Amino acid sequence: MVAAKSDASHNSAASEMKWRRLLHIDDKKSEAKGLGFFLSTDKEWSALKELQATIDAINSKKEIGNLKLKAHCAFPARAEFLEQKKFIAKQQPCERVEKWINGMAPSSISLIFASAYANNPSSIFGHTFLRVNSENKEEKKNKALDLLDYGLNFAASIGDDGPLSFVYRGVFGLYEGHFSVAPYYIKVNEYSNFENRDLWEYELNLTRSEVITLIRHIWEIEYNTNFSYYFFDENCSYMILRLIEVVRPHLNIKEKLKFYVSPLETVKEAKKMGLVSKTVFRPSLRTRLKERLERLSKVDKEKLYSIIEAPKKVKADLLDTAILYFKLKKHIDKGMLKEDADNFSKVLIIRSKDKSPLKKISPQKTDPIEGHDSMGIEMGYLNSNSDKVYMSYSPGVHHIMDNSAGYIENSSLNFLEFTGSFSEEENKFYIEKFIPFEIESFAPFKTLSPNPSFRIKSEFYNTLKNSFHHFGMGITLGSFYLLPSIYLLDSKELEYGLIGETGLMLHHRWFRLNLSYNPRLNQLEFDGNEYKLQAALFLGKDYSLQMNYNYFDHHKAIEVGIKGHF
Amino acid sequence: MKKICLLLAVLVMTQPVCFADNSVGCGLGSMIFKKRSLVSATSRVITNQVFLTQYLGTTTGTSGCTQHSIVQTEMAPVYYAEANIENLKVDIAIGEGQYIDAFATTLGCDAAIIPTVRRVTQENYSDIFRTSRTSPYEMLNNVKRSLNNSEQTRGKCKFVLI
Repeated sequence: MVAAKSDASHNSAASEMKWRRLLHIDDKKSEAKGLGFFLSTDKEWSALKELQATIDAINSKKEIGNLKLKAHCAFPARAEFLEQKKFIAKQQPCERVEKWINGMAPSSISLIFASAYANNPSSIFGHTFLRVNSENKEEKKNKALDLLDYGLNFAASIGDDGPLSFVYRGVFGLYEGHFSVAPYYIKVNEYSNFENRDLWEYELNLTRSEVITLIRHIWEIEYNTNFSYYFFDENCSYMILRLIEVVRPHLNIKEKLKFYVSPLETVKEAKKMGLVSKTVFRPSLRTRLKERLERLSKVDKEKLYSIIEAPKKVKADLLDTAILYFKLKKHIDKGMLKEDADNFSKVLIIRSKDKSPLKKISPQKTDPIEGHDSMGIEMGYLNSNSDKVYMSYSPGVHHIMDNSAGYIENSSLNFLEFTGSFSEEENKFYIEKFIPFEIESFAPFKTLSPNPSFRIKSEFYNTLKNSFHHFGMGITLGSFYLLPSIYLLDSKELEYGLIGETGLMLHHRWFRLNLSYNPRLNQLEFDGNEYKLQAALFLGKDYSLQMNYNYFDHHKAIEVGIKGHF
Repeated sequence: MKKICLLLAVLVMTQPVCFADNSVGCGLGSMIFKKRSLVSATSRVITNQVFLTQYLGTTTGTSGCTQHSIVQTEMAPVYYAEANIENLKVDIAIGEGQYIDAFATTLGCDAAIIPTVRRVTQENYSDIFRTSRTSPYEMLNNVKRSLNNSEQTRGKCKFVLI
């Protein structure tokens, strides 16, 4: 029996946070773009009018939405809210919705973070999606069954755009964001096997009924509307937070985020809010191979190289390492192993005749949410031509001289770094430098999993009048690296040249030291030697003392400062 | 201004990015392939080349899907085999691993029989993967045959009937 409700009770329900979250209201407007999401056609749209229009649509039993379903089936999460408020009678179950949800058999949900892989620039910010943990798995208590769960992904729907248009549309929100559902094994193949990205699985402490509401809400978004997809703020991770807020309306995660939404930051916020109940690490194929290789003795390594060339029966552990090697190589070679294909088959056949159990390895990595915060602020003293104090700001994410726990060792992903300085002598402010982007990776080269080292960096200096852009590709062996690079210098005129950077990198839990010697050629003529020394002393994960010394062509520059991450 | 700076920064980071895309599939699931997130756009192309999953939509039509990409129980082993033949090859050769366990589950094997399934499939590795070109369907049928032929596993897994 539907109780007759006064406008007052509608009014109070419409102003409830939960209802506002269901409508994706930010300030006064809804962030949803597709008009099918709005049942109220009133010009002066409001949460209250939408509430009343939803009640009317459900009571009138008319069919709406992309799938032409009865209103309570097109909007199952709204219907659930209105039923709880007793604004509408208990509705008949919706076959299509229930079948969809029961297929996933939800019992809990995990937030999955696909971490970045340094040699895959498009992965650098990481990615998040949800995994619906099925109750079947909980019953059987077998971790392997995670693979059969379903992943819920929110992504931009992209056509055949070229890179320019892709970036333009992504930054300005011209793509539509949509949800997709796929078995988790598809996601693991994508990220962990093909893209070499470690997966971190954070189980959230949402209850079963909260999870079901969340999935119902995905249904009503997906079949009635769409959202603009912005790479930097309203992206995959942003939408996931919005979904969590639907079932936990009083969490206000968005307010805690900076002007861009980095997937990692959203995971950190979820952890801070006490949403994470369990963390599981799923190392990528490359990480597992690396770990196995590191554990082999020198003799075993030699044996391994020989069986890769000419397979024969050796101990199972070596065969298993060879199998991982071939598997990774096959992915790198896009499925074609060519001359190695036969050897791979032979190793598999030999292994199938050996009953030894797989030697378990569990690579250890620092949980990325334990890493430093992404925004960096540094201040200190610098002397180049005169004494100055400086302050620099970088919105993210990681600099090679920062504490690398939770990040990729020997890498930088730094963008929009801005440094200002003040000279007391001249009583004047300067714009010291601006770095639009700086991406570098010095992963040690391994015979069986070769990685090049690279750096790509752009820098504006001298009150932004001059700029220096360079691109280098080289190799790191142990602590030493060699990185030849080409540069473009926009000073009085446009110049180009080469730098033959040779360096040493040492790091420890508490400090880091980079030394480099850089002979430079300008338009193919020797231009002088540059020497660089960078040192950092870490005071916990977020703070460090930084020192930078640079000598080139009788010109010295030194910076000493303290850096914090927030 | 903020967005223009970001635009410049990303332009450099995302090159070269390719987006060849011809999608097949069923229901909401087909959108998986229509979509590219920024984060994995580059190597997804590789995924497409190696994955057989895209064939699946065309070879099985949409009959194997319930609404919106949730896989029907009886089709689960087929989808699974398509996506994971490489992973299964490794697990079956080694005689253990998450991929063989999950595969056995899609075949309706109970948790108690899974250790036996691992052993039986390992023993029959050479029959299951007869050549390096064994297709997922052949592999699936060969696994079923091996499980039927072995006394220890015969009749133990619900969906192992050829």
